[in-house]
Amino acid sequence: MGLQGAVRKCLIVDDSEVIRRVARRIIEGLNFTVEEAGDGRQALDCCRGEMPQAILLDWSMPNMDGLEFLRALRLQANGDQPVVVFCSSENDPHEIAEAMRSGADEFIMKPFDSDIVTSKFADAGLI
Amino acid sequence: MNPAPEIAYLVEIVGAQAGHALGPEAASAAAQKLAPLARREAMGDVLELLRFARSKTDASLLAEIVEAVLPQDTRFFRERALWKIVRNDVLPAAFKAHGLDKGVFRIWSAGCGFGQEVYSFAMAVSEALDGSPMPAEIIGTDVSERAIERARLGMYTHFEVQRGLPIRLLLKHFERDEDHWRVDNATRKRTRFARHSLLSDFTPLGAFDVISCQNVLSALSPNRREQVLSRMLAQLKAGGYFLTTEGESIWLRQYQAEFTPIFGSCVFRRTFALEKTA
Repeated sequence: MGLQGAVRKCLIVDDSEVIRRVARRIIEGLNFTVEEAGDGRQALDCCRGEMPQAILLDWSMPNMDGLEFLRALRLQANGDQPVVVFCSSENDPHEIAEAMRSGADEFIMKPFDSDIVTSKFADAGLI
Repeated sequence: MNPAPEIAYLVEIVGAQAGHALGPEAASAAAQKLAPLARREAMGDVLELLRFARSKTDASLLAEIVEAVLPQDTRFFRERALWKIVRNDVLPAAFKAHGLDKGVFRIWSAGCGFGQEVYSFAMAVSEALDGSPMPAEIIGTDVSERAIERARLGMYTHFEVQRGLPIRLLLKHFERDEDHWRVDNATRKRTRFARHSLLSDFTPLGAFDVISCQNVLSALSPNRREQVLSRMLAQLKAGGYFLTTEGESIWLRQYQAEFTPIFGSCVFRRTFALEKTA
């Protein structure tokens, strides 16, 4: 909200190329430009230039996992700006609560479809 | 082209039992939902099931047929804009006016399907009460026994809990039960469910502070809609709120002397002055 009109960027962070491709198709349909990263370290590099408006974030990844990335992101200058939607096969309430406490804005439990992503982006105030 | 007599019969019983108006195309599509029932009854196909039902006039089979074809696509906080108004404006104002001394605050969700709207109210009520001891109950009614059983169970799939329901509310009001999520006891304790057709008398349900009738009026045939709506409005207490969707709000116009729009175009408040003319 309030961001309508401008071109908005969403960073998709997932070590699975298939998931990234499925998510990209859905999120481009919501009028975002999409950038992809295969792990948390690559994702931090992507955020160094300009912060994206939204980040769809997997949890379990090599090199740097989603939670480590999120905590590092929130400590950066302007790192509080991106709306972070976790997207993980994790479905234990305690683990999800931990992700939310660490600074996530919404949480999608895999598997997902376009209806779920759209609904969660709306819950997070992105559309 | 006239529809097959079996399809015409389906339109007739759905109209008579639930008040729903099915067009010929919608009826043909709805008939396909009867395939599992046809198999169970050892019928060759859906048309044979309908011919059988017509020849037997078996009330429980007819009820099952009607239940199977009714739309039940509900989701949590379905009308997003309306729910924002309910949470920010309607419930806080209504609770303030109700106070602690006027007994139980009563909400009716008419045509509640699998219960998402009722539990959405339960979550919104809990949030708006913010620990206040004011007693409140939410009553969900539906013509379908199967829907009421499911609603009462309060058990939802991975997909259902991710459509319309923010994660914060999922963590706060649900418990995981193997592959499903179940509404927790604290949230369920304010809810009640009853099988009730829109075509039967509403007076046994009592008077309500809030009546929600979303995506229900639009499914009814015009003459049924009018009488269902006027009987429903009669159950609303003076000062109470009637909630519907943008598209359905036009049918409230003829009641504007007594029910005035407030907080936008989908919420109507019953005035105090002209109480009880219906």
